[in-house]
Amino acid sequence: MAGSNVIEVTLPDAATPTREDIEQLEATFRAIVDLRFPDSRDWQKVEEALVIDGWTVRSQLMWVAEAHKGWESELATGRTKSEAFKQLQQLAKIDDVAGVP
Amino acid sequence: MADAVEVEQGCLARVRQHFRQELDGLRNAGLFKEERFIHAPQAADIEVEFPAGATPRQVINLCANNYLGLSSHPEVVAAAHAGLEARGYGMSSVRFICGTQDIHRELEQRLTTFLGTEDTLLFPSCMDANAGVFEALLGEQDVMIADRLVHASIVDGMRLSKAMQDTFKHSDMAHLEEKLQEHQDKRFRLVITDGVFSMDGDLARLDDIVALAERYGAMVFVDDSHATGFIGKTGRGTHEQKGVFGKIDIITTTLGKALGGASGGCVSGRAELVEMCRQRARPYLFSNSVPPVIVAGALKVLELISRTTERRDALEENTRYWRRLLTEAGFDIKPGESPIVPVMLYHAKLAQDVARDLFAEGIYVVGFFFPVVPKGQARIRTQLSAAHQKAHLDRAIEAFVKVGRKHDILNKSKKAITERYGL
Repeated sequence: MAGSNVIEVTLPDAATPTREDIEQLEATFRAIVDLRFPDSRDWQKVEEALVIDGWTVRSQLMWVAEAHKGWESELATGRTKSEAFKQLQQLAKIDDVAGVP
Repeated sequence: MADAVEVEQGCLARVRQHFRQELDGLRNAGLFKEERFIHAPQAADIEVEFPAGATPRQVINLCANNYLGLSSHPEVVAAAHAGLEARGYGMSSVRFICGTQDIHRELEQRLTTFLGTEDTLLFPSCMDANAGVFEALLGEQDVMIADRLVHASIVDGMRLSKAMQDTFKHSDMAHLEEKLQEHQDKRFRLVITDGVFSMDGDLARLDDIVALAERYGAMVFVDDSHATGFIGKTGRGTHEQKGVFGKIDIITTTLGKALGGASGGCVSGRAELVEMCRQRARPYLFSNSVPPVIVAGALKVLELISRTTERRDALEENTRYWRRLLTEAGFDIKPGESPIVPVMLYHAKLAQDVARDLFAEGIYVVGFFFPVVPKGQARIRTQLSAAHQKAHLDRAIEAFVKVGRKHDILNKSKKAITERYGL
């Protein structure tokens, strides 16, 4: 074990995780840790302040998909990965062509 | 203190260096835009200084949006002068504080009648109208379904809205229907299209779009900037041409093209939608009013084009004539009925070279290529005006043929051109 607050999980010998697998495992554990042991409760103050200001507030875990090309970038979120990518495709597609005045 | 100055200088130096590189990148990619200085009022014949510092030369203008030739029309200029005298130069205010004159409301009412809608709201430009309308009307429960070739200002406006963005393949009604079916769970569906597409000059299939919208409970939005004043029997726009006058929920259009060409735009449509834009559209709320001088000029323009269809008829005749001249000369043009007539060259450098050679021959046109148009679709966009005389077009075709021969593109198929020049 690397430290008292670091958990190491040994993958089965047969497992050959891809970079994407590792990213998803990390994200999953990070989400569990954040839900169980949040580093602060400051977000609650923000939520309360917004509610006082009349906002209805909700938060949820989402997929984020990003695309970059030169100086352009697109970012989409979705409840599922395919939802995020579908929206990302629309965002990237919508000004594929710059057009003329 | 000295350190702070050095840090600031270091930061500024990095900023300059960064943007110099960016600008060099644009130059190297052939995307750097240079302004050409015109030494005359906008017209069919103009004096152009290009490159900067060169002696101005007389050229025939085939690239203005001056479709009805009203940009420098004496009656419009006189009305603008009178408006300037009667209502002053500027309003020094947004509309809802102290920037609305009687003539602003009069122009809105006249546009409403002309476009066959229920109400109209002026914006500083159609770019602003498109930037404000979607955010004002739609929320996250809604979806915008746009033709993939809509104008850049619509794209920007859609991005400012919280509604879901979706697109359909250009003028593909089957694809639009699929999208409308897919989004039946949304509160509001808005189908978005240009009336006349500025790159190809083709008209939206508004009759089919309206039919689909009615079937699937959607609203229809049309940017008719390249149509208002001249498309349709009486120039009301694409909705008139396609037989759906009065059936479009939201029309945006410009005063900056056929309607005098100064600036200003509007949202016109269902009364409640327009009123909501008046309450919520940020470019309307936070920009100064359209200047009185432009309002007065635009009122005169509407009077002129409501009185007679002479100018749109002349434009239609010029368009037919020019399309025939180009076709007979062996140029590859995009078919259509609008006064936007793209001459297809496919290859970016060829489009630039042909435009440059035409300028040397006294014809002012601009080459467009990727990313302005899709890859392999480089072209010269020619635009007709009611101000053109047949003599202008006869002179222009002589120059086009001379330059076309030089580059060996006459009577050549796309395949032949791309085999020789590449894509």
